Amino acid sequence: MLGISGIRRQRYQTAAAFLLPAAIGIILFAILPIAQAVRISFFDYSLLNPEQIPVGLENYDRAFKDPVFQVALKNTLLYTVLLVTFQTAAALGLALLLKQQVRGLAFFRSAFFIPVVTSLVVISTVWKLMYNSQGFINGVLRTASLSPQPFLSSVDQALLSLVAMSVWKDVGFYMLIFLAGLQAIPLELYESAAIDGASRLQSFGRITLPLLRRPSVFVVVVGTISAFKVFTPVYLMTDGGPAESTMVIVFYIFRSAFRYFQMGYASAMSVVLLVIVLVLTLVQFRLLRTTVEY
Amino acid sequence: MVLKPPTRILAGLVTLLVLTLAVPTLVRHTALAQQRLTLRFWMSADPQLEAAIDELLRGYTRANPNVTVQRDAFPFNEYHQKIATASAAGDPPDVFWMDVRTAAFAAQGTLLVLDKYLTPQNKGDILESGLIEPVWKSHIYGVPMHELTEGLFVNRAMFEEAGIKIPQRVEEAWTWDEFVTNARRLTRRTGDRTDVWGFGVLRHLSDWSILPVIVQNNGAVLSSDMKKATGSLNSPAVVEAMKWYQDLFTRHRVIAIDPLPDGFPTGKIAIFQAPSTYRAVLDRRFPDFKYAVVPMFKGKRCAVTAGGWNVSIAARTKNPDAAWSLVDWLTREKHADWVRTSGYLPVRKSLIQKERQFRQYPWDIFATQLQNCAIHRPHTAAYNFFFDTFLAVAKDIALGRDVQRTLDDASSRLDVALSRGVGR
Repeated sequence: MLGISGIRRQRYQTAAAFLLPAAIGIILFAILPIAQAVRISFFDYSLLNPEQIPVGLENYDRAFKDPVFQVALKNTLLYTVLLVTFQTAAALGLALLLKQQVRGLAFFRSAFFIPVVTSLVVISTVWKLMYNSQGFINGVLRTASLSPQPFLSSVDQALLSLVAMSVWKDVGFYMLIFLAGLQAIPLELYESAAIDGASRLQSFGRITLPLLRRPSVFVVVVGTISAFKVFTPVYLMTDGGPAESTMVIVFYIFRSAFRYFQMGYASAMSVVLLVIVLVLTLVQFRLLRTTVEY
Repeated sequence: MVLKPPTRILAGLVTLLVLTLAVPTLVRHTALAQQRLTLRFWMSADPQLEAAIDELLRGYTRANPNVTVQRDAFPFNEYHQKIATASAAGDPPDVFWMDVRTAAFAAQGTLLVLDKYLTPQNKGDILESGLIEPVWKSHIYGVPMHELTEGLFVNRAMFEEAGIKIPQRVEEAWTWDEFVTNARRLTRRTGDRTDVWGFGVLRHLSDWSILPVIVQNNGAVLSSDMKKATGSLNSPAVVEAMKWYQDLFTRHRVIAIDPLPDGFPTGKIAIFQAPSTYRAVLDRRFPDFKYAVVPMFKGKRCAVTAGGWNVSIAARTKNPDAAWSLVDWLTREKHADWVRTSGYLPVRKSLIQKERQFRQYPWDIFATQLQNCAIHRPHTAAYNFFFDTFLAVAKDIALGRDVQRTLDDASSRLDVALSRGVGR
């Protein structure tokens, strides 16, 4: 017969056996590549040549002095702030609307979710055509007697145009997260508030928002990480221009590594990006921490 | 007949010399003929060109039954990246297409030096313009498949309607002013909307298409040693040329900011700058469309970009001799077949001499420009950086950004990249 410690050991062994396949995958395909990137960041290394010359912190020094990297950092931050703000607000708004018992609810839920499951490459290509000077959006503007807009050709509008497309693409996914959060809030809380004379706005501010804190953390953290990694729309729609107004970090890392073959420098920038995302995520977890349960 | 002793000695020496020269070749060919081996061949993706290459490869494997060729093709945008990552993984293709980026790959030891394979006779048959891109630091790393250059394609119906004469000889090329006048006359607008653009470019805003404008104004993008952009790219001659180009977008408004796919054959563009291979595309996809080829416009001098695909061998190949036999098959033995099916221009003098069509309209426009006005993109190991920088510059200038400031900024960045070199 097994003692308590024996049962505990057996449980640990079972858990370890279940965790092992995932752990091997994570170690092989995430941790080791990250460790390798960190190592390469201290070398002068071309993709075309196996020779690696140690350069210490030179690649990091270069990154912080590189004006393009600074522009890319600034653009990525701006893109992230705009995207997460608009995306979270739009997703919450849509979730509140779709929580109501309106006709055709299933249709609207599916319609908002279709862009989420559509390839980003396809969406980027279609939106690029829509933003064209002779494209669909300018056609609508002309029909409404409004002046056509340059969108992706404008230094002031290009990044905003990418944000608009990205919000449209992902809002359905975050809407579902909020919708699940809203449906989990007990109706009794609203009924009690109503009996106490609370208005709908007060109920929203005092009940809905605090109890949506957990889904909000998920939406903001996942949205931020995803925004920091933006690449496909920039690659397909703007190539980082005009005048580097849409140059973002991952696109610059890609260019440095696979077009200019500067693997050491690209790895250093990747490590900087990793640290930034890590710090931001920890800060967000801390700020959005909640003790409210229901 | 009895030979005298000195004659016998001489005959013996000649025989020995012949054997010395012939035996290694025979041994190599015999060894190649006996070994069973596989060559991997990579090219840029294009359905028409892939079919043409496959035909040549079938001929090669019939002539060399012991060799199997595995062909792969990748879209141009990711083609060089594929070769780079395959090289980094230690598994590059044996034989592959390479272009102006030869310098970047050769500088890192990725390509095999072909000096010992390319005989003086073989090399002497290639046009001088074809021997610029595959050469790096006096060594040859590729053999050209063909040549490529540009011209202007014009919509015959629109020109007839506007009563504009279509020049058919290089000497009759439009000056910048004549070109702008014609492009403006052909542009049609309804209110804000442009129904027909006077001008369009297939390789929109790329260095390939804009370099001629700069050189036509006696400008240069980099210093002659290709180590500096400041003083060249931001020189008065280049600024003046780029201001003229900017005016096409902003003042004359004869060209659209965004490229119009198939805008030329569908009547949305009247004059279209495109490579010589565009004829094959038009003839295949728009057989009823009536067009004419006219020479590239000229400034203070004539200039038109030339270049094309060369065939290179990976430095790591295990079968260099077999790889060379494939390169030679594609670039020399079957050059005429390739040119006929691909729509590219010949790069071999013997073929140009032999085939009359290349001395007749419209081929003669491209061939004459190639011989008298050909220029090349910067042959530097940092070409990819130059390409991206120039594209961004061209886009910004087309959008109306200050030309001098844009070129100054780009020159500073290029100086840093050129001094650092590729991969560093």
